[in-house]
Amino acid sequence: MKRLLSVFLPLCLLTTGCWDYRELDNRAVVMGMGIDKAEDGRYRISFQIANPNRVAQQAGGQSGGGGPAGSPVTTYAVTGSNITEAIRKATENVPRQIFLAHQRLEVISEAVAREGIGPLLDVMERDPQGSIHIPVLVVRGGTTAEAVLSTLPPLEEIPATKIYDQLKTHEEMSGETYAVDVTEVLRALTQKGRQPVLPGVRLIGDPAVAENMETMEHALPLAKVKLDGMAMFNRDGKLVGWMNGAAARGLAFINNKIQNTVVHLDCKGRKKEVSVEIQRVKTSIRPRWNHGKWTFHIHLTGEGNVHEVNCPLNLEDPRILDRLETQLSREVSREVREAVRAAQGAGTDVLGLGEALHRERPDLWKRWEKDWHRRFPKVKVQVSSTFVLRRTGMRFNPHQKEQ
Amino acid sequence: MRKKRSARKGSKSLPKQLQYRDQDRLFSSLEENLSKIQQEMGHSSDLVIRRIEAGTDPKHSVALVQIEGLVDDRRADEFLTKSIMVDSAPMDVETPFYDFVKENALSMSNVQLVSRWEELFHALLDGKTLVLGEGWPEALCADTAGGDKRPVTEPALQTVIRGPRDSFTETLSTNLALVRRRIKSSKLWVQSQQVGKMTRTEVAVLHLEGIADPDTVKEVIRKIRQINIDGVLESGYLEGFIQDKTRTPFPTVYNTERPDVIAGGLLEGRVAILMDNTPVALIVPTTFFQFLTSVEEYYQRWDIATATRILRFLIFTISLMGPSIYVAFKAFHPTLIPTELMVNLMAQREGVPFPAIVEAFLMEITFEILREAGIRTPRPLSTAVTIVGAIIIGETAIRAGLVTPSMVIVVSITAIASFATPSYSLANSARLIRFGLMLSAGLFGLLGLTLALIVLVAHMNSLRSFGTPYLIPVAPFVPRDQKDLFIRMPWEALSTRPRTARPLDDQRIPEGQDPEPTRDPKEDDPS
Repeated sequence: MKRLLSVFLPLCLLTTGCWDYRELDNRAVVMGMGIDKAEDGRYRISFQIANPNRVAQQAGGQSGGGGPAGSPVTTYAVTGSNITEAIRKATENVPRQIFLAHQRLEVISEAVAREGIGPLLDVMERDPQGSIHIPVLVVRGGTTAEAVLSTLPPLEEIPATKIYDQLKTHEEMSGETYAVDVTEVLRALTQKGRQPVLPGVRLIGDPAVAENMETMEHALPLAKVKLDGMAMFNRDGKLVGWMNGAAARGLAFINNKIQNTVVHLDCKGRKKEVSVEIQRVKTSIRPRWNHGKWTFHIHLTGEGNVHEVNCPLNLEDPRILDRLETQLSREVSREVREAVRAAQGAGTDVLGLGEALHRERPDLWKRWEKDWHRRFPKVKVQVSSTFVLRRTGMRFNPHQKEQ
Repeated sequence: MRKKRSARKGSKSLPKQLQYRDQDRLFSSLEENLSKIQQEMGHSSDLVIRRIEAGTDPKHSVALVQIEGLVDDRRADEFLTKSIMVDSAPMDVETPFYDFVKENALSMSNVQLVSRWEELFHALLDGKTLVLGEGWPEALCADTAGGDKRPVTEPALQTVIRGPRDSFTETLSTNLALVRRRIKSSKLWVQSQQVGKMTRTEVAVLHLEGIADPDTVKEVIRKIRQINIDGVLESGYLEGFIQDKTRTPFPTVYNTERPDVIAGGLLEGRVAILMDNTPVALIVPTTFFQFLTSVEEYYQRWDIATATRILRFLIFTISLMGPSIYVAFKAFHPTLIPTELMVNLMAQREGVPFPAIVEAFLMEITFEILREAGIRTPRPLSTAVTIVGAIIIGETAIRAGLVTPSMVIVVSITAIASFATPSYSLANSARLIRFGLMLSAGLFGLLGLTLALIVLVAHMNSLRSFGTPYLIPVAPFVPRDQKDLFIRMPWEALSTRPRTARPLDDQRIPEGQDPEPTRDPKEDDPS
């Protein structure tokens, strides 16, 4: 037995090839993927591939001529009926094997999103290389995903990385748009109590200029990519509407996505004179049987810090602070209400009210589940919030005095 | 017929000395004895024969036989020559001359009588001075052993910052004294025997009676006695003969040049083996983890010692698998590398002709060549080797695009980690295994690396060092001994000896030794 093993084990090693062996320089690292509609009705998929030499050159400032400075990325666009076909077809143009594991994000054009995002996500989950934790974005304003992806950013080298970082920072600091990754979308699509949302992105400037290296030489960018609102999808995965501004942040409040944001309050009849930073927001949704009807109570609690005061307020006075707290709660509730109105207007439960009902009354949910999309726009929603001001920053009273 | 004749011829041509060696006693004639000694030694030039006339009677002449360089000249002159020449002058006529010399004249402390040729030559070659006289039945052997020896110096291999600075020398008696000086107990027993038919090297087995496992002591002595070889020149010979398993890259006998390590081992109930002519002593039984510890951990504060110990496990891991992990990640699992780093690595790889695994082998072998050159080059040339090595590896290979800079970093860190391993013999094992792991990682990625590690651990589990499992106290798990493994507990907590050596007496520190603050006597005062 031992002798047999001693013959066969080395054979196993020596007669097989190098399993899965592939040098790094034989891989084309896809940083981002853009999905547009092709003229023939199929998908036009663009792969943004990092150009390692350029990236490293710019990052490390390697001395010695590494050839002419070129674009840190190259975007290849291929037409195919699905992503898998496109990846295989991409080899017509790309000399290396497409490597998806380091993909940073996926950008979908509005036209594709309106047709439905369902067919695009399966491969992301099924392919072992595919990353399911990358955010998906929807392009607004008629520009193609390819154009957004190709816009060379001034601060970062790789556009996909730039958009990704932008999204994450924005989520952290404002919450008006927040990243939604592939798993979250898929989860929302498979259950009926919550429909998916995706952040929107808009190209400002001329797409033709945007992809030129020259943009990077201007202090005032000729073209830039801006995050804008949240796209609402229905249960078929089709885009049905947008939430903008206050409503978008209201959505983030409801979905517990706010980490840190700033709310501006009016002061003595003047608009937005007091800025309050909000942290530790917790939102609960409770369906209640009230006057023969189901009412959804959305309640928010949180803390605020006074961040900027441009009108004479005596912040040492607890009553003033109490008033500010009430004002703050009212303002947040208003935004949340706007989100509810937008969602009900679009007729899709992106707030997760169905989910809350499912948790509270599973038996009732069983009966309601089928026609929830018809019931949702009509349900009664009540919003309330309690915010507490914790700190007033490095000083109490503003330097502006009462006149 | 022919065969018979040739056989007879063979026996005839057998050297004469072999025929009488076992049986024959000394001749009574001085001249005959002397000529036999000269003949036997092949008239070697370092054989010194001095004839001395004792007293006035010409019949009372003696001969001193010694080997130059092996004897302490001063002692031989002062106590031997002088005492025979001067003290025997007013000799009592009644007493026979032989008895007189034996009883009175020799002012040496250690005098033996030898009557057989074999013993005589052993004594002569051990550095003793033979006193032969006309008509004497025996030869007197005076212990004048001495000659040049290297003084006790600082250890060259196992250096410490805090701790004793002495290390073993090539002289067994000095080494034994260094250990004795540390353990002043009658329980420190030394059993000596000679190994090697030609070299007759003195090997001493040390143990603490009442603490060391008697079976282990017996086993060590038995194994050493069984060694049948023409000569042993270094304790590595002994190690090869007494280890439990030869076909393993791992050392199962601990070696050290530090007397404090030997003393520490003895106190834990281990058995130490010291050998003449080498500064390297052995300790058995040992475990894998002993090779990863340094004595200094017992001299330092326990928290610092613990941190160093954990660092050392990390060091060993790096020295074992540094390049293989790198190759596996780079060639098989770029998914696991952070994006920025991967893009960076990709850029480095552009234009490098060899696959990562070949690159790793190239660099590792280059490093091994440099290392070997560093050891073997004559001192005056070593700077040249360093310069050439540094320039070739550090600069030109990267400039020429033959290797990636990151590979150089990995190989360098691995090399440094290899040097930082406290035991040289384990560092050597790690070097060897490293290449195997690199191969499996290059063929099958992390999967291959994991499989190779499983095989490695299984192999280590099969090893024994004088009956002690090699991975004790991890496998088999000994909860009690965890206190001195990954962490080194404070001294008062190390109350028991490790089970490693199966000591007879477990208790090392009696109860109630926890340090407590010095008490102010006033506080106890009830008033």
